[in-house]
Amino acid sequence: MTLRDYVPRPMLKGPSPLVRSASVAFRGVCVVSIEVPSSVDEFIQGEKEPASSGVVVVLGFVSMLSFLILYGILFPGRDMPVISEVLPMFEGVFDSGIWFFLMGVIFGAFSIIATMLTEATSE
Amino acid sequence: MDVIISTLATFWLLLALSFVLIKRGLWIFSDVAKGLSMFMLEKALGPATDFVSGRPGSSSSTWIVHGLVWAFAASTFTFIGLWLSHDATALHSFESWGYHPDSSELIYAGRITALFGAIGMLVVGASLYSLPKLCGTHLASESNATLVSLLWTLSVLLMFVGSQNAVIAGVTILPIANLLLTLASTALVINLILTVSEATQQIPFPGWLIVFAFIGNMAAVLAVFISGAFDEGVGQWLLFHLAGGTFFFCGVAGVSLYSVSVGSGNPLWSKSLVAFTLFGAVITINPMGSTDPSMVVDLFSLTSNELAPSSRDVISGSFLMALSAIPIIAFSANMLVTMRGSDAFVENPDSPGIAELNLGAWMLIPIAIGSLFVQTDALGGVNELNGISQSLDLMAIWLVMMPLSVGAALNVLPRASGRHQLSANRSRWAFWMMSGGAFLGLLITLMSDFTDMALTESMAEQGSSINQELRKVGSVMFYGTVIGAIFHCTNTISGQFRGRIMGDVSKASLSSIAIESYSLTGPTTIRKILASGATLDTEVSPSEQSEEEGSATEL
Repeated sequence: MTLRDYVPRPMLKGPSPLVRSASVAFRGVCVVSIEVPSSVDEFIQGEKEPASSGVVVVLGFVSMLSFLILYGILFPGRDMPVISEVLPMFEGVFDSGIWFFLMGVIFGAFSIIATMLTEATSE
Repeated sequence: MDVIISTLATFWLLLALSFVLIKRGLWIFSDVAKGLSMFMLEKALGPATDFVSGRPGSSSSTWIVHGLVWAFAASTFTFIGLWLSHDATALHSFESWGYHPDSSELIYAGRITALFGAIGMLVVGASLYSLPKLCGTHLASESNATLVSLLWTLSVLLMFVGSQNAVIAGVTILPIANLLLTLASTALVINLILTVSEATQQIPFPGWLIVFAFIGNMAAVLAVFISGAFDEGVGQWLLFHLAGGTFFFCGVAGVSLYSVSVGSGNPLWSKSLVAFTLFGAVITINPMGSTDPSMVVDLFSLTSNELAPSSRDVISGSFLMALSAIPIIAFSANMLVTMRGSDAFVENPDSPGIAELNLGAWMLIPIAIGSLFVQTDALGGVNELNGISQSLDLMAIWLVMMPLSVGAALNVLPRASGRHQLSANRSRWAFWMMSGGAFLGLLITLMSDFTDMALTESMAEQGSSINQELRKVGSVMFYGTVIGAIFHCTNTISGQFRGRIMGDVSKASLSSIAIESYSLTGPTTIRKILASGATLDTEVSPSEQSEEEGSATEL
């Protein structure tokens, strides 16, 4: 039985207009609250990004750096696996400070392209 | 031979003829010419026009977005060029790909993309919206103007390629780029003349500035070729400065004057000063720009000749450049006084671009005076100030032309597209990054140029290390311009989709503690109003009070 089927108890003199309207309103509230489903079978995603999600990413980044430093302390003089083999490939390529700035330019260029694509395709 | 006066006489004659034809029409052929032109602009292009939106303001928005993306590219090329001036082998790893980056070539690429890509497209975009408004009509063909933006962008892309590699597979790139640009300019001129012909009101002077910007550029090219001056160094120098004085100066002045009035809500301060700006711009020679006219030589595939003016050319050229102070000061003063007293501010999203317009108007006079000295020095053959020519040219681009064109475009864009920028805060950051980066970066580079000149004059055997340091700091500072351009691009593109709709005041950009309105019930101080949380955007509404004695309400 749902509250939609709820019928006010009859009064001796009949319900006054005030009581009648209040009971109808109460029934409406109850109906709304009772019809909210406890779970949905659809994927739901919030529209706005919570500010704390950025903190989580930064926390992850800081943890990564901490572990790298810890590796240097625990295994002094030992090369970093994989990275120590990859980095020498770029010797003589990124040997100027301009590359830090060019990385920013490349990031900016891709952010412009990404903005164009996402804005044009998002609903 | 007096090259300057004879070429200018042809130029003035062509402009006068154009003006008469625009005002009087083509007698009985006017209707035929209009119909034929409209056919060429729309129907003759076939299905291509169906690919673009013909919505009012759509062409203006397209040109402005293209222009901002080119501003990012131009600032990047200029930054890399400035960096390579102190660290020539910074990008030597590209040589394995067959590309040899060079400082002067990249600065040249930055100049050409800034002038034709960024400033040119922003000015055209703002003109396509403001000229029909000034004429009280609609743009003759929105779809054609939108399509032409793609052609223009292609030509600027070819210009960049040509600036790095002049000949590819036996084909000289820059003249082809210029040909495409001329084709696009012709379509724009026809479109704007058709718009002017449908004017329902007397066209104000800023409208004529825009018209003469487009016509003057073509008239300058025709005048130099008709007078035969294209083969002489003076003729090439003159064409470079006539194009700068017409398309760039008149165009920027026209859209800036329109925007400053619309943005600030104030009427344009002086009609006479706009008239001085217009006539002064086409009669005199604008001194801003490089002393080296190699851009003209490359674009028209001419034979480069040394700048060797006759004594009469030196006198007339110097006199006409000095005379250009009148339109420049008139324009700057008119802009600054029109902005007075309004609440137009960088934080006010209803007046975007005003801060940029303010900066450009302030920087115009000192940079124009500096350019006047450098140009007179070069024309007279003294060449003592040649060392600062490049930095001053970059300052004219990034501290005068770019702020004015970006400011006008940002002001026009919400009106053309119907949506504000996504974030007023990001817009403010973009302004400070662009203006601060360009001002500090180029000022420090100019200091380094002066040091270089002093060392050359003293015939020092070794360069100064501080000079290299200054160039390094200057280039790093200029990086702010790149970041500012990125901010402007993303903010504008997102604003086109998610920006606040024009006229919707429900989401005013107030902070969480700011109050939207303040009821003024009696005399109070501004300190008390501000202390209550009011900002510059808070609306103060006086509540009416009566001193009359009250009485019982009659039922």
